Amino acid sequence: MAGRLVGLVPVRRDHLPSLYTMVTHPDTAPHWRFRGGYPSPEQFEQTLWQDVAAQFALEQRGRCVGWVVAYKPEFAQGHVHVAACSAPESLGTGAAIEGLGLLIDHLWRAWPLRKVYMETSERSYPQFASGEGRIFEVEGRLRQHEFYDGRRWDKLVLALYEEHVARIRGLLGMGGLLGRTASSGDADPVPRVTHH
Amino acid sequence: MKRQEKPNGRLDANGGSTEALDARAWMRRVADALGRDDIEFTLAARLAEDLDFDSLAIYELIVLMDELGADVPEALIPSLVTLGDVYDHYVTRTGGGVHRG
Repeated sequence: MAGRLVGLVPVRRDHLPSLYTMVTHPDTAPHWRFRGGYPSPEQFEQTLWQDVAAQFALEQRGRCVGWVVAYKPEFAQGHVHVAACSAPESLGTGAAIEGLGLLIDHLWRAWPLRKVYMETSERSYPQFASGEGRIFEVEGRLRQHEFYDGRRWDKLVLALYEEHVARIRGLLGMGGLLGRTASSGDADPVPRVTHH
Repeated sequence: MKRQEKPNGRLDANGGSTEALDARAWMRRVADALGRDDIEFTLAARLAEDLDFDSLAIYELIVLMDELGADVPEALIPSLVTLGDVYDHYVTRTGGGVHRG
């Protein structure tokens, strides 16, 4: 699975140092599984596959620049959660967005899903808010749910349905943006970083 | 998943060849593609600060440039601060000869 910027490769042991660096980065640690805690490398490795349906490292020319995860699968209900994080040097480059799009495309092909959820904080939401209504719907808001950086933040639950996945596939190269006009409001893109 | 093969050169909406767009036409194409016809684009506008481009919009811009025949290497992305920076890259990649206007 490869896009313009990144390829998805199954997580290998040699990826673990890069992944550990990502989840212990100050910008990521408050949102990831340990919620601000800093696990030892051993603890991190032990939990790496807990409640995970699929996960991939994002690689650019053999370098690990991010990580995407599908977790908390409820296949009987037709949904799963997804999350992504970037290496600090790849923030804002679109690598995580593309990786997340590739993951969602893969999940939709692999399982009979009805929707995909992403959870994010209101602090991170502006990074990809332009996708609201096109790439995802905001289905839930837990007010003052998370505490970090000295204050409480809302947690947002985003959902992607089949029509959103079709737009993601368009952006990934199965249709593209040309020919789309503002008035058509159709054909397009991908979501971005949410946190496991 | 296999990516759709990208034909060489610049393409119009129907996949046919076209000349490099001048700055005004290029900005109109960007605004249309990103669904941002609500504001007036200028080449001096900063993508994040002035145009409120988030990471998703930046990625959409990269995809559009790719489709216009001006693929953006990932190493270049952080240096694209203004719309003019992106347009300059587009002109360079598509053979130049077009003034910012």
